[in-house]
Amino acid sequence: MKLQSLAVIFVIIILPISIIISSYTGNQIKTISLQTSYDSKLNTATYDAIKAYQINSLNDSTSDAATSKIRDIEASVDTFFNSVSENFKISEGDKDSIKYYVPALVYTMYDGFYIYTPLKNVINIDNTTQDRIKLKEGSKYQDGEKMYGLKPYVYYSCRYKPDDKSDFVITYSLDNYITIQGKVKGNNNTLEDWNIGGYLLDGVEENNNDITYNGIEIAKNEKISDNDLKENILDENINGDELPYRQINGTKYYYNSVNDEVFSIISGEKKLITNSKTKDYYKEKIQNNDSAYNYYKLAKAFTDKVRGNNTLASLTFADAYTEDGDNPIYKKYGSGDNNSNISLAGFTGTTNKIFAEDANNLIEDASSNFNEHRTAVIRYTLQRNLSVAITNFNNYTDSTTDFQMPTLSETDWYSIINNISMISFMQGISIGGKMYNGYSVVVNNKNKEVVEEGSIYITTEGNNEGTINQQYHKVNSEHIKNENSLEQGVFNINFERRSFIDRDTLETKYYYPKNHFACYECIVNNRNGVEETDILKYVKGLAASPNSNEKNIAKLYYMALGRERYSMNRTTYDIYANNLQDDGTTWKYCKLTTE
Amino acid sequence: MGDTSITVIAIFLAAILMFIFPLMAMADRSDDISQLSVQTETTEFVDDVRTTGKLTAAKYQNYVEKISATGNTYDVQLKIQRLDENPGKKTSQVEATKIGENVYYSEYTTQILDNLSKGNGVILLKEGDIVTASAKNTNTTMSQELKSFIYKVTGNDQYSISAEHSGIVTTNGTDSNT
Repeated sequence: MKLQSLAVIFVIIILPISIIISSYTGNQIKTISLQTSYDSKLNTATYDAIKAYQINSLNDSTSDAATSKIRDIEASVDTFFNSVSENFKISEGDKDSIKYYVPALVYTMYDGFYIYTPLKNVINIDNTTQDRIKLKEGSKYQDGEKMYGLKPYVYYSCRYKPDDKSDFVITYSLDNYITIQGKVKGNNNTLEDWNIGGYLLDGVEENNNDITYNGIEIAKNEKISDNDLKENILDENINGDELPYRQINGTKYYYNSVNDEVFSIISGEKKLITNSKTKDYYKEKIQNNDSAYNYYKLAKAFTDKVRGNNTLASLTFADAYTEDGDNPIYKKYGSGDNNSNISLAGFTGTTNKIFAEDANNLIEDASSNFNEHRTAVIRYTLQRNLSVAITNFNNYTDSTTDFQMPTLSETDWYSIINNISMISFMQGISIGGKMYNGYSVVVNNKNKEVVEEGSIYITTEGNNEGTINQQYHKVNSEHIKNENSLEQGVFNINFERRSFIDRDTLETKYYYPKNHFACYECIVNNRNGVEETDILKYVKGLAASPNSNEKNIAKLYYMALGRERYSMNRTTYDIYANNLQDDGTTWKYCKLTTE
Repeated sequence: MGDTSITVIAIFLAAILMFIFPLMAMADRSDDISQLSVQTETTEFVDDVRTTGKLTAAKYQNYVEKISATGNTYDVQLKIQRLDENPGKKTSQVEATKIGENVYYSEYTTQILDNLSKGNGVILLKEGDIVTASAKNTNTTMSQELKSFIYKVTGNDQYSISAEHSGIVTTNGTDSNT
């Protein structure tokens, strides 16, 4: 055979092989780049949704109430789907089609979470069944209809049966606040009904009504150089002036000394307190801001109360039961034949006392038994509910994909357990060779739900020449250690822009509750911080320092943390607080009276 | 005489067809795969930084090592844009109806690497910052060499593998998160 023929044959063989290989690698490249681009799109959409939630909730004075929360979340869900369809170039009319690929959206909150997922709407269509909601005439809803919506709020709670009598539930939260509900065996062997909530704190000392926390004295009335705490407020009558205020039960009350009036802003409208008695009550509360003091005082009382009960004091990880109360969690999921990836780290150990008292490991420290168990409970409830929701999605979709909960990375779990966050899932979209199965976790650092340890900033006064503006700094930043114009500790959301619609001109106006500018070192560039994985531990170090300035930072921080946590909307806590003030010994329910 | 020259041309053609062509095809595929892996690594690196709000020396080293594993050398460029909301805040304080503009300060590769080599080798970012990473090859890959054998492409900035990814940071970086 001639050389030329050989060459032709060679080319005939090589050419198709090369074409096939090139198209195969081309496909693989397409699949992987599609996957990464989907990951990015999902992440972008989740971030958009979180941003929408932040803007809505920060601009609303009632956003900590459950109904407003649901409204804000539904708006955020809409933003998510808008953003997804925008990113995936889906036309407006086809927007709903993307829902077939989103098995669940999760919004984690302070003491529980919402899942947005399809559900079967059950309505009393012929108005015969008593236990169902009646349908209004002309309603567009139908019985048994599949629809998307928020499922009822799931608390981060766990059931405990430490002995044959006690049976109670403890609800945990993102910080050291817990609620205990149920029957607890008392020290004299009788069953007590418990329904109280409070913050758990070690390190509080009480002496003749003087409170110290980690050696720092907590002032009974928080002031900034003899002035009440103030912030900007914008209203038709008030043009961005600073007014004394106090947050009570999640609502801020302002005192305007010019007109001698007390008011709050509800849904963008000024709500004057007209009753003179009530007005005086609030005025007195604003001028004597004892929120921080009360926080530590009540936390100590609550912690002592919990530890004073033998059942609770000796409660261990192994006493945690499943929801039905049949088995301890470590037994049910410890056998290995359950195909769950539930981590048992915080559920095993008959010697690990949840409320253990240890001078070297305070209950609020990140490494305490309490925190280990708390994070385990949060993770367990999320995992259990989510896997059910995602698996149930198979009943609602026409897609042939088998929907399953993806395995979340440890880093993502860490963010979820320690922050308010949103988790989105997207599955079942064909991306060439495989099916897309992705998720995205985005945390919400600016929210009214929880006062995280890192969300308290320290402000400094500017000097008179105006060369340096009033600034805010991180508590662990190096340069404020020598700063001598420290002012106060402020919750980070107060540096965020608020909007307000002027009812006369219908103009949207913007204002900032606090005038301070972000420090270029520690806030804008996020550097020069003292490396510290646990802020509370770091501040404890400052509190023990011989340097008076460092002590002052710790004081401002503790005051602010206490003040902000105490003024959050926590129902059970308030009842308890009111009880204790009336009579230091009784713990029964009583109605909250403010007048 | 004519026969000899035809034979020479035929051998030459055969050599091109039998060696250079398959070699080029393979080298091209190899570049494609390098491209894919560099693109994936770059995206993963940037997404990791922007979801944790933290850039560490270890993360950067890991990224550079992974892309170097493709057998090429790369020029990696990083950029961090720091969001500064203060100018916007000033505007709103002067006039309540205006939002004002946010400003970004940029830090580039040399500054970033300098900061990474100092202290504990951690750069913390905050929500709203923008991270960008890009990589392109600096060596001549086999596919490039073969191509230049057939047709000469001139110019200083020649690369066949390049990847870029950027995104907004979604969380405040702290020392405690990984």
